[in-house]
Parts: sequence; structure tokens; C-alpha cells
Amino acid sequence: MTNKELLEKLSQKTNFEMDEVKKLSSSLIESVLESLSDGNSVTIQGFGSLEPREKASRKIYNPTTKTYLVVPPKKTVGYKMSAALKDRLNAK
Amino acid sequence: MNEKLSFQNIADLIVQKADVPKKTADTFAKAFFDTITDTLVAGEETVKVKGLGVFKLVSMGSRESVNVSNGERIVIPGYKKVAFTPEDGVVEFLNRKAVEDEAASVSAVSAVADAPEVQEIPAVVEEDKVEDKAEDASPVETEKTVEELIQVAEPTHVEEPQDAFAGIDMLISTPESVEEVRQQYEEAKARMEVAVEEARKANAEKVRLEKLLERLEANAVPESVVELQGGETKEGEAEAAEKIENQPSGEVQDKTSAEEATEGERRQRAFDRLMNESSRKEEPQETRKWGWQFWTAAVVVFLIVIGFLLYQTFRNIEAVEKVQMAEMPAKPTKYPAKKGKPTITQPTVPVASSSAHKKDSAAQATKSETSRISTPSTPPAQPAQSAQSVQPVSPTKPAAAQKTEQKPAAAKGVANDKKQEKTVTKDKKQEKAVAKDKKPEQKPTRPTSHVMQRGESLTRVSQKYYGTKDSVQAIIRKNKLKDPNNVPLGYVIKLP
Repeated sequence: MTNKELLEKLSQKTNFEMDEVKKLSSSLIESVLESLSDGNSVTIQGFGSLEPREKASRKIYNPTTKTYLVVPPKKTVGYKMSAALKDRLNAK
Repeated sequence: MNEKLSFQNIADLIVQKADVPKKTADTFAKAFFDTITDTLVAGEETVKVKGLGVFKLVSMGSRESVNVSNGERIVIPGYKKVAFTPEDGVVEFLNRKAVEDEAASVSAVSAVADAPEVQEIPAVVEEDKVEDKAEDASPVETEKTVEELIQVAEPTHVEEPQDAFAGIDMLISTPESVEEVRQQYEEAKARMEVAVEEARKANAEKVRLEKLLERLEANAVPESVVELQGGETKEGEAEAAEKIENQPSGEVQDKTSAEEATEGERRQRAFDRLMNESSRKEEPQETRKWGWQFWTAAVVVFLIVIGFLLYQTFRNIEAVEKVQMAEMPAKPTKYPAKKGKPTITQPTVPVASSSAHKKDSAAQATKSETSRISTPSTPPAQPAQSAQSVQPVSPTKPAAAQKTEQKPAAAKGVANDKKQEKTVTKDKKQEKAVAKDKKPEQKPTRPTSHVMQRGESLTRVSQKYYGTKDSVQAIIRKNKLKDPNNVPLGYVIKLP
């Protein structure tokens, strides 16, 4: 499902205009991202949790140039689905 | 920092940002996440959310684990889960934010601080690069470049096991039949080794005899040489040598009188004499006198015998393999039970053996010429070595040899023998090659360890010994394998 399809579906579901949906979704994503970048995790019932994760720095070796490089530590977003979602996915 | 925000907090944030009533934000946020989950539950593989990332449905395979409390093996069933991959922009955003917060220098410093430890030889350039960039441009860029560099190193080894596996599946076979094939192979190998050993000895003898002949020809004083050789070496040789010297035929006299005769001519004459002698000999007592011919004949016999043995075994193996191949598609993944063995072995073995008998008789018929020449010499006149060598290799041959022994031998000259020898050696080579090809099939069935074969994956090993792919993890853990996708060839795996 692409972003466009998602927005269309949302518009149907909530009876909002497409523009409204776009504005809301962008603000939602923004607020989620901001929370994450502040170091806060976001937990949504029935969906799961998004949390910032630290990736430690590591050393890599480039075999062609035979050089070692240090990859600096970085942050990324981790997601863990909720138990409820897992149950729904693995029902049957 | 490090707070756990809930749905309500997000809704509040939306209210602030989009300047909408709380209710709208609530319903929208709820609908947003519900849509994602519903879509995934409905079976859609991926949901892309622009500005956030991709939610993807992933199937986890079932795997085997151990119950911690009682050590029992349990199967953790497979399940589906949702994996999330953040967009590049998101990661960038997070890191930029972090960098801005913690002051630009920190990341650069940390990068450089780590560097000297690792970057032993070639580091300097890279280090400088990192530093420069950190100072000049924004640190994010340095990270980017580093990331680009990482990209180069990483891809490649994902598909591999799958491919290898597909090929190997064909080779899955019942342990019994494999065992049998292996036995046959081992037998054949042992026999071949013995035969090769004997052949080599025979060859060495032949060479020695030829050398002796040459020396005798070249030597003006024959008596001493004959005595020496006769003393140390075998009867056959000695007598052959004696024969040459003691035959005072017209030719020899001619030779001695015509002193101008060249070495080559002399040799030729001696050779002719030998030929005549050997053709005249018909009784076993006399056969010992033509050693040179006997040795070539012995070699030929060896090669024929080896060829047949290898051919038989090869046919056996091939037949078994064919049956296996035919069976495979029917039940490829299931651990083949004991059914396989009787159906495979019973039909094929008699066929093969009977064909072998046929072949033997045919061989006797077709090679009567050679056997007439070669076999008479076999039993009595023979030096001990070659007698030993013939008998263990071919159980059928001695009988044939004795039969043909009594027949008057019609010597046909060496040319025929040579021809046969050539073809036989060719056969032998082919057999050897075939035997080599068979080698990968050899599978040790030791219960506690396993030697990795070419193209074999851990999944295969697991399938073979446990009848399920779920034990792969257990094997990896047991052996502490760092790269399960790339186990070295010949690596001995301990089986849990």
C-alpha cells in the first residue's frame, strides 16, 4: 500500500477532505518524529511502539581499498508491534 | 527525554500543530493507525507511510529451541510479524537533531578518537577526510559519506544458500543406499589401489628387465652379468638373461663376426630372437624363459581386471543413483525411510552381477588371444610377486588362467597386446574419473559429527540428521558458527 492509497482510505474512513487528511497526517508524522528525536518513545494501543534506538559505532573494513573505517554511532527508529497486532496477524 | 508517549500525547501534539479540534485529531490518529494495522492484517505486504517509513509483513519460519527447564527440544512455531524500516529522511532527521543538540564537534571527535585504534595502516587518509569534513561542512555530511562507503561493502551474500539448496535437494537420498554406495565405492577404491600397486610393480619389473636386456646387449662380457643378476633377482629374469646369452644361434655368430654392426641393429636382433623364442614356447616349463613378454602380458591382465571391476562397481552405483533420482520428486523433503533400500538394492545387484558374469565370459572369449599369451605364464613359472598380485585382484581370473594354460598358446606378437593395453588403460582412466565424480556422494553418517561437503548447507545437514530444518539454529549454536551461510568446506560440525 502506498502513501496515496493510505490517505485515500483515511479520507473515506473519516469523511475528511483529502487536503485535510494530508495536513493531519503530515502533522501526525511530524509530531511522532519530533517525539522520537527528543528521545521519547511513542506507544500506540493496538499498533505497537516506535522508539529511538542508538546504533553503536563500529569498525568496518573495505576489502578493495584495504582501509578501516569507523562508522559513527547513529540513531534510528525501532518498531515493535503490539501483542494485540501479533495476535490479529497470527489468528486462524 | 526517554518518556513513553501514548496515543493521547500524540493527539495533543496534532492539535497544536494542525490547529484542529481535539476530537478531529483523536479520530484521525485513531483511523490512521487502525488503517495501517487493518491493511496489514488483511494480508497487504507493505504499507508505505511517507515521511515515516515502511511497515512490512514478515513471516518468521518455525525454528527449534530447547526448553530451558528440562532440556527438551521444542519447536517454536512460525509466525508473522510487522517489521518497520524508517525512511532515510527520518534517520537523517534524528541524527541531525542529535548533532545539533550535542554540538557539532562531538560526533567528529568521537569518530576521530575511535579511529587511531582501528585504522592501523591505511587510516590516515580516511581520518583526515573525516576531520576536514567535520570542520568544513556539517557533520551529517561526513556521516553520509561514511555510509556511502559502507554500502559498498555490504551487499552480496543473501541469496546464496537458497541457490545452493535447490541443487542439493536432488542429492537427498536414503541413508541406507548412501551407505551402500559408499561401501561399494570404498571396496572399489581399495581394489583399485591394490591393482594399481601391483601394476606399478609389474611395470617396474618390466622396465628393469628391459634395462637388463639393454645392458646385456651392450656388455661384451655376458657371463658375469648373468651371474650377478641371477644371484640377486628372480628366476624369470635370470633365465631370460641366460637365454639371451646361451642361445648361440647363427645370428649371434653373425653379430660377433660382423663387428661393424651398430648398437641399434644388435638390439633389434636380440629383440627378434626373444620374439621367436617366446613364440616357440608352449609348455609352462618353458614359459619362464620369456620374462619380458610375460611381464607385458601380466600388465595387460591387470589392467583388464581392474577395468572390469571398476566397470561393475560403476554400474552398480549408477543403477542405485537412477532409482534414487526417480524416487526423489515423489517425496523430496520428507526424510526417506527404510523403504528405499530393498527396492533399490535387490533389483540392481543381481542385474549388475549377472552382467558382470556375462562380461567376464565375454572377456574370456574375446581376449582368448591375449590370455593364451599371457595366462600360461601365470601360475607356475611366475615369480611370487605377480602370483600374489593376480589372485587377490580377480577371483574369476585364476580359473580362467588355469583353463587356458593347458591350451597351446598361439603367440601373436606384442602388437596385439599393446593395442589391448591401450584400450584398457583408457577404460581405466574413465573409470577413475567416474569414481572421482562419485566422491561427493560419500556421506559420513556419524551421529555426533558431520563433515561439510561441497554445496552443502546447514539446512541440508539438519534435514539429513533430524528430518527437519528447524535444527539449524541448534547446530549453529552448538558449533558457535559465526557465519552460518558460509561454513568452510570440510568443516567438521558437531551435531547436537
